[in-house]
Amino acid sequence: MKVNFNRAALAEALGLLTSVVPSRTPKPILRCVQITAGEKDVRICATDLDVGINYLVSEVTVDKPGEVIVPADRLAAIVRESVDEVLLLQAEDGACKIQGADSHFTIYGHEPGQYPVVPGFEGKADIEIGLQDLQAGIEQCLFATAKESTRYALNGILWEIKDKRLLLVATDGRRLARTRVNLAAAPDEQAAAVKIIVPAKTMALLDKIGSSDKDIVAVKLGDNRILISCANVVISSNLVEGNFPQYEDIIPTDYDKKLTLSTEVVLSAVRRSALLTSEESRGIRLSIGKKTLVFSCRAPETGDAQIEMPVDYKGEPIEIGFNPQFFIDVLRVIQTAEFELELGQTDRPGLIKSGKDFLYVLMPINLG
Amino acid sequence: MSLKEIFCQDKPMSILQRAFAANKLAHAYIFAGPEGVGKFKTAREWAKMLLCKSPVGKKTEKKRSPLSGDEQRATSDDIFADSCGSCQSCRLLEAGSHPDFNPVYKELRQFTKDGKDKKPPLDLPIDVIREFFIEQVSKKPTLSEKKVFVVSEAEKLNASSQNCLLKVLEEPPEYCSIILLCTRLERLLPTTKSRCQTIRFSTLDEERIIEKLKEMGLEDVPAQYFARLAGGSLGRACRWADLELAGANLYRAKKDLINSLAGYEYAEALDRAQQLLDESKKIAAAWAKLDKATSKSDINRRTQKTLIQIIISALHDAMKLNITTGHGLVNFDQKEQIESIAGRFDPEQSAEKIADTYETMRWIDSNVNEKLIFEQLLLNLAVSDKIVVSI
Repeated sequence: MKVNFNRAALAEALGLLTSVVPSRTPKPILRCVQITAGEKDVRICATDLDVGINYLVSEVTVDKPGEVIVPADRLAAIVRESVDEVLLLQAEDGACKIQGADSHFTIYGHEPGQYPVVPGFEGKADIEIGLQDLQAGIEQCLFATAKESTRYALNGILWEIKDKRLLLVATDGRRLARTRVNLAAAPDEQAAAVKIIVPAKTMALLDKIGSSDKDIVAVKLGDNRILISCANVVISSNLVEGNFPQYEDIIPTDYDKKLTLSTEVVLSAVRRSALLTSEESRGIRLSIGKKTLVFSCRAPETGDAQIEMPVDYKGEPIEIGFNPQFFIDVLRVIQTAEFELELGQTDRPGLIKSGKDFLYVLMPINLG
Repeated sequence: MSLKEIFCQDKPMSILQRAFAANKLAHAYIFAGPEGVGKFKTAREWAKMLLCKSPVGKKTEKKRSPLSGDEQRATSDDIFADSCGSCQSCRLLEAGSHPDFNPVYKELRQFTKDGKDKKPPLDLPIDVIREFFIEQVSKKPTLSEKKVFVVSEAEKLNASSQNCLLKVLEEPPEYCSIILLCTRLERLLPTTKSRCQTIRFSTLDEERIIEKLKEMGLEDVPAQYFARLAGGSLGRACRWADLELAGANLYRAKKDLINSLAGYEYAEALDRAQQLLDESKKIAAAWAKLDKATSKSDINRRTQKTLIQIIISALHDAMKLNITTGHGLVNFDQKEQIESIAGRFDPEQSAEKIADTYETMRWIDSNVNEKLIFEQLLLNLAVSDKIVVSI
């Protein structure tokens, strides 16, 4: 292999690629990236076996096609520190030579052919979404995924296509976030029935891609993996096995106690009322009466807090307890200035709605 | 390497092959048997075959012919499924970078989330099981249609690790194949055992081991000695041979040890213990250079166990010599010394001493000071009928 790279373009590619290279792994080859030069183009791949990136590098001239597998952190450091505009990469007997105007590096890599395959994007996309829309959707759901649950399905985000829109759902068993994302084009019929669970890690990586307004993400759904292509990057990820809970059943539809509240004001109120929570009493109490909403918290050994705010409410008075952290989490991602809070009884979950597409179900806690 | 090259394990192999041909593979197996008889090799090659894109000899879908049961079994025996060795899956597995082959071993601890600065563990910790097993199980296979998990040293799974595994062992996802490698079945909880199918691996032929050791470059006498000492474990014999070839002088150490066992005074015992300890440290150092994957404390323990094994073999030989003609002694090369030991202990005494020595072997795993272990051991075997040291 013999390829001339534009240093800046290569550095940008490696910046994204190194984010999936695992820092600790029993398989040393995964600490490397695979550089494959075709007749005209050069692809760099990195994977941690869960998520893989296949990056098409721009501004290259290929002198001789080939393949080389080199340690990612070393290569990235060399490229970062170099001052040349063009770097020449040459593969020789499993080693990689990097030449600048005044510099010459040789790094030893692995035998070609041993790197796990990171697939590229081939054929037609199943669905297409605007990158920014998707990223906004991810931000609204990602926080609600379970962190280390033995119910594996909860460690990911459910993708479901319904009415020509993409539904993203995440839950950890105590709360549930659901959002809808518009598709850029109508999905073909096969894809329309798909229900898959994408690991939270992949979703977080998608969220990290730098985006411009017009970028469109093409998605290909397989049985075992999902391929997401955006500009010159293809992200592949394996899917989570398991059944996602029947979430529709737990979204209440019969609530009559409804309030419209200001996101910012409530966020501040919840935060302040949560200041005195302790290990034993973690909840905050919402007391809704005629015209006032009181956030309060009482911890036997620390003290108590009370924050009042006026509301326009005409229904029955109600008291309900929530975990303030779960409340804060959702208020942070709500994009609108106001949101709706709907309640049923003290022992039934609270429902938060923002705009037409976002919905959050929050289990109450018993304050005794 | 392929499944065909695994020798002396015909029975486990035929169980696996038959289950595979009948499409009745269990989701979890325990490969039980002594150390170094090819459990891991078999598991790895089996995994290679399961993951292979175009396995050789795979039974094609046939309609059940009206043959009698016996004949049908004969046909399925004939088909020996094996990996092709050339597809991408096989190549990646050989290179150790197959995404769907997951070996689980205790040294993985250093790769767990907060395991970076922790010492290599002595048992298989729960962090490793969680991160490298349970979390991985839920992820669908990427390259092949299956996913294989091989847990080495399953006898070192502590109770919490085993309990944590139960759910996965009970009903792993469709694509999962789990193999636990275990040398001591009694260490596994009944709940673990009942969820797996156990396949027993037997010891190997001495001749095959000698042949192999000679191939490695060992002389006739040491080769035969190590093969007999290993008691049918090729893995152990090979490791000793490696040590010998690397210049650890294990064979010489053994000769010295047997020489001194042949007769030393009670007063000398402590000095001899010190010598033995020094020798053990030297061997362990050489061992650690050869085997970088295993933790140092583990290597120390294995070295000490090897030395104690040598002592046990001598006592065993002495016992044999007293009862029979002394055919097939492990220490055939030092018959005189064995005779002198046999002169000191009658068979019953030898049996007692062997029991005591095995007891000291157990202490090694319970973190008893190594010097004390050797001292106790040698005091117990010294020439003296006046002072009896009870354990």
